Amino acid sequence: MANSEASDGGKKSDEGKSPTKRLVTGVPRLDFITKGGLIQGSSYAIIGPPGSGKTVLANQIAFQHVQNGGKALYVTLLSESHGRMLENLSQMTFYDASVIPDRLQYLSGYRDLERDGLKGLLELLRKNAQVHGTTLLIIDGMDAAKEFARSDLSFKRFLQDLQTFCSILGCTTLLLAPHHEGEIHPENTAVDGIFELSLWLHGPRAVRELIAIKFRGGPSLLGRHEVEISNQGILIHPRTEVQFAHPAAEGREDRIRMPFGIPRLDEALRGGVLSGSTTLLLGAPGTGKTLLGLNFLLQGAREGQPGVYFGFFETPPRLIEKAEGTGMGDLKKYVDEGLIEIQWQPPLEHNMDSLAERLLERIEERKVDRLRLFIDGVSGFRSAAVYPDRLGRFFSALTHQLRMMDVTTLYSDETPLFSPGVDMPQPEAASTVENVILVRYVELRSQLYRLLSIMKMRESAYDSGIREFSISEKGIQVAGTFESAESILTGHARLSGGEASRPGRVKAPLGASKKQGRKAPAKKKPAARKAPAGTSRRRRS
Amino acid sequence: MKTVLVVDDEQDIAEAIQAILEEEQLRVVICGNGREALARLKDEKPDLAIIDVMMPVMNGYETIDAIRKDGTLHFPILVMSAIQPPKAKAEEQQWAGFLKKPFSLRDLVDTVERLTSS
Repeated sequence: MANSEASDGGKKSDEGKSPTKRLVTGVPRLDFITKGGLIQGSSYAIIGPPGSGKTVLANQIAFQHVQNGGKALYVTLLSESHGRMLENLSQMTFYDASVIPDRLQYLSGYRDLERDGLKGLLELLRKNAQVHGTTLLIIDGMDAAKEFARSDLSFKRFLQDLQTFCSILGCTTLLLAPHHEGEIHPENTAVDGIFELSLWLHGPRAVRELIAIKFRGGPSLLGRHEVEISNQGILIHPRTEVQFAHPAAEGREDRIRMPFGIPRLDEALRGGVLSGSTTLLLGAPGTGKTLLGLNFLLQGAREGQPGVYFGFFETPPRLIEKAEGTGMGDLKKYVDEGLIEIQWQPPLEHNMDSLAERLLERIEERKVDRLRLFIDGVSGFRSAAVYPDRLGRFFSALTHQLRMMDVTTLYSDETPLFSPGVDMPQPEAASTVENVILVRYVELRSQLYRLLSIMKMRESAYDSGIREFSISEKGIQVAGTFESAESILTGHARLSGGEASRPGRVKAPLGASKKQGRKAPAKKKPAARKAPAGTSRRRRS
Repeated sequence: MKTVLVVDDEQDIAEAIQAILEEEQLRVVICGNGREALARLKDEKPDLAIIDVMMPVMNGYETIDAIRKDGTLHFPILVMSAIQPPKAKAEEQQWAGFLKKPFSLRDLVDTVERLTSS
């Protein structure tokens, strides 16, 4: 039959069971949630408060169904008039007036319901569905039908009769009813699946969700999934952590080093981060995270590796301007050539699953090797989170998926500007990411120093020394180990032994003018001090 | 008093049209589908029929075909629908007018007045 397909491509499954025929809805990602579409001949309840999108969803399914060769009958019971409904739908891209009324018919069943009760409605549905050759039946306004039932039992009997008839006809049924918190619908026990659409306020933001409550006959991604309604109709964003709950394969075996193009940093990283790894770049605002990230992308581009900048705060022209002022003038060239792509997310209300989808889909579309990705601002995702307790699982799933795609990812995340200690804003990220690089300001003798340290590097040895770095019009310069102070990570830096006894001999920050007292550029002093036990040159797995 | 037959399965719309036209001193008879309308046409002898396209049992196109085929029923037919029907259909079935739903009260009253006074 048109518009349907076997869930396993028409072949019998390993267990020898016949595959279920599916009705492909065409609603973006609804078929992903149901693992192939609605089950043909089954009945589904679509419930939700007024304005949650029930009518749009049902019509979207109906138009797609007739486009695929099926026939749909849309019966209304005391809901909005067909004229008003179709006028609203005519703004949607899926709307096609040419299929009405031959393939998609709109009827009102209220007159028959009022005159002859549920029996009259059933008769109307039977006659019309049979004559029309309906393969998808939608009843909009089941609450009105329920009003005409003498009891819950008689309503269930009506549903059973309807299901029996539809099953014989091979017709899939959608039953639409308004729903309010705590309300019980007798039809929910009789139907094969329940999709609840919700609309609620999260602070000032309106959140639309589709909650897959029940789906008989096959696996599905039950639970809450955010929904958007646009002129393309309903678009569902399944939770990232359930989308990628079962990754198919391991990442690429032939891993290479991905340098930043900053000699001393790359030395400390033993040549760079490993391809396919994830690095968290932690630091307070203004410490240089964005520039370090851009440097990472630029170095890749210089080596012919593609890159993506995925950020929330800086517009593409501002980013290019910023790069030009800090020795990265070739960023524009690589952006123009398309080797580096800037995906700027305007500071609007986002949905974090849709952000992840957009990012992953674009990476898949590009079909490139050894991609470097810089996600500038984990906080962009964090502010889009309706359920903050999901963040750990979300990042774990996103990171894992990127790893499987052999993408080398650099996330930047902010630490507080004025805080003595260093706390991970996303503590769960510690176990998800392979590498952590910390950049921070340290105040010492009334001077501000920019310092960089590698806090963690899984599967590789690394140099854990704390290094001073500067940002100038020539670019990022990293000095040798910053040895003149101790207790830097605690935020309460103090001069170390020799330096403390020689007041006035503290070097000015790297890149500062000579007037500020710096006599010579910082030089690397290799192995001058013993590295902290257990950190340097230790291979971790 | 002139009679208008309104054929529409959407009861609230049929009743709204009835209320509006009765204000205009017209007698209104409502039918829920084409078959019901055909059964009542000979008795009611309307001066105008307002017929919806999408209806259960017998749709608007089938109803007009049956009226034209009968040969004894001569009154103007005003078609209304939520969709824009093909022009060829209007010519083939000799519609006197068409109203796209949702229509305004003014459009309805003006069109009905024009068709019942001619």
